[in-house]
Amino acid sequence: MRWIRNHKLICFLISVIVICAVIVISSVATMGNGNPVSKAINSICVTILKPVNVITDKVGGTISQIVNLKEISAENEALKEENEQLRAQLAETTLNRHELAELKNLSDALNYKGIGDSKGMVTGDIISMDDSRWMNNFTIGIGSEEGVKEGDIVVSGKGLVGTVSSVSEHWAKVRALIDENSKVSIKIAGNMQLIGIVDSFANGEMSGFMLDSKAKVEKGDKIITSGMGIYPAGLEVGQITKVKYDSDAQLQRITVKSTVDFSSLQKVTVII
Amino acid sequence: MNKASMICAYVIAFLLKPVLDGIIPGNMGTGNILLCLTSVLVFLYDEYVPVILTGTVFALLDDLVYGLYCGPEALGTLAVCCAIITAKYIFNNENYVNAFIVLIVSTWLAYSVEWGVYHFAGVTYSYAYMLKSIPVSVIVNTVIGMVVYFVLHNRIRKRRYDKYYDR
Repeated sequence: MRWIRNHKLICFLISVIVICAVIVISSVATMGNGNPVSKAINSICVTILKPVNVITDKVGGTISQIVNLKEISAENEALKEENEQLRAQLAETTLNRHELAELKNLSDALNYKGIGDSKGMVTGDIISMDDSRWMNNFTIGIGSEEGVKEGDIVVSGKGLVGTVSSVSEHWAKVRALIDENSKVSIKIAGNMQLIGIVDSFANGEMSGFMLDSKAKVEKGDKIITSGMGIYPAGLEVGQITKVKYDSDAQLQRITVKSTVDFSSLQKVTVII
Repeated sequence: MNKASMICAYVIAFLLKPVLDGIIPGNMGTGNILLCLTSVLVFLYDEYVPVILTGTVFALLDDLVYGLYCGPEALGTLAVCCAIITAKYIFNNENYVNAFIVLIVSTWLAYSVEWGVYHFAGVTYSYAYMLKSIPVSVIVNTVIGMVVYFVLHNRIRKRRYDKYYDR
């Protein structure tokens, strides 16, 4: 007891460190889902931060436009050209309205359920990013009120982003695909017969293998989800950056880089 | 520094982070203002308990709102506080050079502890990858910390009614 009285600061530090360690271990054990108290505190903080984010988004967007004026002009010209090409393609398309109506009737008659029929989508703003510079987790401003649940898939315009790791009424935390360690079943976008699995995530990059050891894949090929597993089919996962034949395992190993730029994400869509 | 001012400073620092994140374009890094504030306050003042307690609580809040798990930033902040207190006992000399070195080391130490916790939790990033991504954060944190140190350091000399005036 005398030792404690004479070393109050050390005892205080040890007790605070032990309490924080217990909080960390319980948070990791619950996979970051938290308990009602932490969710309530998080909800209060998110409510306070939401109007701040609305204002800073507007100011940040203006500043970003000024800083990136040249790039925005070049991108604008490229998009105008692409728009013209797409309009021309649209005019030339062979699937006219009549044929589309016939296909829809056939789909209804056969009771076919595609992704658009059974899954809804809701879009939300990113309201906060992870403090660490090496991880890509973030919080979005939509939650269970909008139909978001734990485990829902999150996508952006560029491709697959990740999954919802915890959710409350008005917010949800998203764990980025490249930060997780889960397997993703994939196909090559140009050749839908080639199937593979992405099973390893390290330092922001993904790696996996093709099921066919003689599959003709090369650097630059686009990877999409195959539909097997938790991810719906057709979501862009990334691009192949390296192909190597593993003679020990007799597998075609691939390294994939995500097409999503996590540092510049502002809006994402949750498939509910 | 009285406790009300300290808590106000922490609240402002907590709310400033999303503001700076939204305004500063790209991935230039906005630093960890809470960590800078805690490092400077522990470095300047001898009453450690209120600073460490407030810094830890706000770091926990930061983790709750922004992080995947609750607690890594708090542990990092505690490690930094312990290191600064130890350094003060060893060096016993407060000046701008020491403050500069303390801020650089504290950023590295805080991120290393956070990486350790995330690594224990199973996150798939190596220490080398983490080190590659923190130089910008070290620079930004050092700049913010030196500004805070400059303001509070001068305050210690000028305010007659501040209890640290006679130091």
